[in-house]
Amino acid sequence: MLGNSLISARQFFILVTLFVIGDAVLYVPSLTATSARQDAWISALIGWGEGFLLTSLYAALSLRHPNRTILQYSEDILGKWAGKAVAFLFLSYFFIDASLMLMEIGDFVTTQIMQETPIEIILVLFAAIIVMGTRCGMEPLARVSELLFPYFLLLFFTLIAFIAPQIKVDNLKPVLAHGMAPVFGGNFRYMGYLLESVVLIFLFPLVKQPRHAAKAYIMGILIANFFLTIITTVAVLVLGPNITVLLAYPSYTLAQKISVGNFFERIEVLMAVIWFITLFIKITVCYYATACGIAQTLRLTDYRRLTLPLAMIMVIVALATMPNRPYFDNFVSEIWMPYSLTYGLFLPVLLLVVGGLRKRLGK
Amino acid sequence: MKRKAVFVLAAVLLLLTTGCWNRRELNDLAIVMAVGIDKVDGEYLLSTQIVNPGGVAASKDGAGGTQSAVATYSMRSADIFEGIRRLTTMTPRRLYFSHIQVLVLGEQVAREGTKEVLDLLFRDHEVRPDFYVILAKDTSALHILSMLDPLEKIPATKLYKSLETGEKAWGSVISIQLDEFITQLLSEGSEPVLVGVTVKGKVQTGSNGNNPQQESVSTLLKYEDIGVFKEDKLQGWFNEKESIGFSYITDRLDSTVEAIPCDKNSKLIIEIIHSKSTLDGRVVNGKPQVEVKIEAEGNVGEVACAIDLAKSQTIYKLEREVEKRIKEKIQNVITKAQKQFHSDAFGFGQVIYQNDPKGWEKVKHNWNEAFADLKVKINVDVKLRRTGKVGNSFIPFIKKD
Repeated sequence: MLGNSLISARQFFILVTLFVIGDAVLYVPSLTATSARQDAWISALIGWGEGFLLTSLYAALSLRHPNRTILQYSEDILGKWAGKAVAFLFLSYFFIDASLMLMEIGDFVTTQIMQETPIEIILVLFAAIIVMGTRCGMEPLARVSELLFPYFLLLFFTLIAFIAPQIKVDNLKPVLAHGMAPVFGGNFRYMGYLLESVVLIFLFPLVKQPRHAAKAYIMGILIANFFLTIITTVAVLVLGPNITVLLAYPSYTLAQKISVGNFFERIEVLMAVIWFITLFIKITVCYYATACGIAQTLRLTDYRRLTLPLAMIMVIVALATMPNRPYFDNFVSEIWMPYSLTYGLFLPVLLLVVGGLRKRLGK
Repeated sequence: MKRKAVFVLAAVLLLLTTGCWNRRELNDLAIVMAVGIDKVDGEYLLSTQIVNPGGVAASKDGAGGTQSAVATYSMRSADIFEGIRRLTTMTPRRLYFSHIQVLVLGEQVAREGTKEVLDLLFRDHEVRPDFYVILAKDTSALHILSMLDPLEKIPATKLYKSLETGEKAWGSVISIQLDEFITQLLSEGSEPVLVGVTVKGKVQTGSNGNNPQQESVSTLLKYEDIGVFKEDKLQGWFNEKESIGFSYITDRLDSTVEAIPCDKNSKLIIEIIHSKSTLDGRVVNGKPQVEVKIEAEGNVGEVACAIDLAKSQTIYKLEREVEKRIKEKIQNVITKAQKQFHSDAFGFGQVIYQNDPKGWEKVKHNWNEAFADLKVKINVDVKLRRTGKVGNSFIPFIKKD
C-alpha cells in the first residue's frame, strides 16, 4: 500500500528536521515577537520541551502499533466507523496543511520577489513538483531530503554568519520585563507549528527500525527547534522587536540586510532557497500522507492515481484559504494553534488512552 | 509512445515557461539612486535621481564625459506613490527602486512630520532596507540632489560615500538607515535623529553641468549638524561639536580629533582612535538616573607648542585635559536636548527600560518632564598610548637668531 518503500532512521531524522523548520522559519520570528517582544527567544526555548513531549507521545503511540499507520490503527482502536471518521479528520488536516503551505509559498513569492506574476502560476508550478515528488514514493523523497540537507545547513549558517556583525545585544534587553504571560502568548503560536509534526506519524511505519525511528523523531524536532530558536533570536537581535513584529517575512529582511564589505550583498533570493527546501519537504510529506491515507482508508490499490486530481483541488483550496493577507495573519495567529491542537494532541491522546483501556479490558 | 509524449510535453513547457512573467530588461529600467521628498504648498515634491549608464561608463576617447551621469526628475503630487507613478509621464523608462542609496528629506517635510512619507518606502517590495536617510538643511531635497561633485559622477554615491567616511573619521556625521529611524520612532523613551546635509557656496552655480570641470569648486555638499526629532517632527539641530558629543554618547564614534590649547596661541591635537560608550539607567527613589561611561583611546596627533612629551606625567595631564573636553561636549549636547528640544534623542528612556523595566513603568508616563530634569552622570576615561613617529615636537628646537 505504501509502495513497500522503507526509509532509514537517519533519513527519517532529516525529514522531521526539515519538516518542522518548514514554513516556521518564515513566520515564527514575527509571530512569537508579536506577544513576547524581545523575549521571543524564550517562547522558542519553551518549544524544546513541548517538542520533546509531543514527539514522545507520537513515538509511544506508533511503537504500540508497529507496521500500521495512524489511519489503520484508529480503525483498530475505535472500531470501523468511528475509526474511519477519525481517519478522515486526520486526512483533512494533512490536506489543509499542505494547501496552506502552498499558499504561503505563493504569497511569499508574490509579495517579496515577483509581485506582478499571478499567484496561480507559482502555485501550479510548485504543485507540479510536489506531485512529481509524491509519485516517486517516499524512498526517493527521503533520499532527496538527505541530499538537500547539507545545502540547507550551508545556506542557513551563511545567513546567520553574515548577519551576525549587525547584532545589537541591547535589543534583547530587558529580559522578562512583563513576566511570563506574553512569553507564553508567543509560545502559543510557536506550538502551533510544532503540533504539525503529527503528520510525520504517518511515515513512522515506513522506518526500518522502529526503536531508532522513535529516537530520530525526538531528535529531529529538537534540532528543528534549535534552528527556529536561532532564527528568532537573530531576527530580534538584528531588527529589534519593534520591526520584527511589523514585517511579513522577517527572515527574508534579515537576508536583505546582509552586506559584507559592500560587495557580498543582495543575496536574499539565494537565502530564500532555505525555505524553498524546507517547504518543499513539508508540503510533499503532507501531500504524500494525504494521497496515501485516502488510498489506504478507501482500500484503493494505488495512491498514485489520486495525486493529480488532489493537486488540482489543493491549488483551488490554497487560493480559497486566503482572500487577503490580514485574514491569513489572523488565521495563523489565532486559529491555527487550537485547530492543530485537536490533531496534534487531543486525537493522539484519545487513541493512546482508548487503545490502552481496550488492551487492559481485553485481557 | 509514452516517451515521445513526455518529450513533446517537455518541449512545449520549455517554450511556455521560459523567462519571468514580469521580466524587466536592464535597458528598460530607470535605476533610481536617490529619492528626495520636499513639501511645497501642502503638496509633495518628489525628486528621483536616475543614473545614466552611458554617462557613468568611462570611455577611452573621453566621449563618456560629455553626457551627464545622472538625470534628476521631479514631480508634484498629493501622495508619494501617486507621484512615483506620475513620474513615468516624464521618464522614458520605468523607475526601479532597488538601488536607492539615499533618501533626502527636505527640511519642511521633516518639520511637518515624516511618518506619512516613510510608509511606502518601508512597505514596497522593490525598496531594500539598506539605504540612508538624510535631511536637507536650509535647502530643499531637490537642490541637494542637483549638486554635482568633482570626484563622484553620481551625487547619490557621493552622498552615500561621504556619509560613511565622515562617520568613520570625524564623528559629527551619523548614518541612519530607514529601519533604524523607524525603530527609534517606535521604541519607548527614545527619539529619532537624522544627519543634515547642506549646500556650501552659491546654489545657482552648483547644478551647472560644468561644475566638475572647474578647477576650484564653488559649491559643494557638506554634511552638517544632526537634526533632532520629537516623534516624527524635526525640532532643531545639534551643531558640529554637539553632534560629536552625541556620537560619543550613542557609541557611534569610531575616530575623531580633540584639540587642547597648550600655550597662549598654539594647540595640541589628540586623535581619538577608539571610543566605547556604556549607558546605564535606573530609577532610584522615583527619580530616573542615567550614567554615561566613555572609554576612549587616543594618540598624540599634532603638537604645535613646547611641551615635554618624553615624560609620562605630561601624558597623564593631557589625558585629564581630553577627558574634560569630551565631558564638556557631552554635557553641552545633553543640556541642549533637555532645555531646547525636550527630546530624548539619546534613548536614555530606552536605557532605563532595558536595565530597570519596573522603574521605567513608574516614570514613562511623564518621561518628557522627567527627561528635562534628568541627572546624567558622565564618566570619561581616556588613555593616550602613542605619540606618533616622533616624541617631542621639533618646533621648540627651531634655531633662533
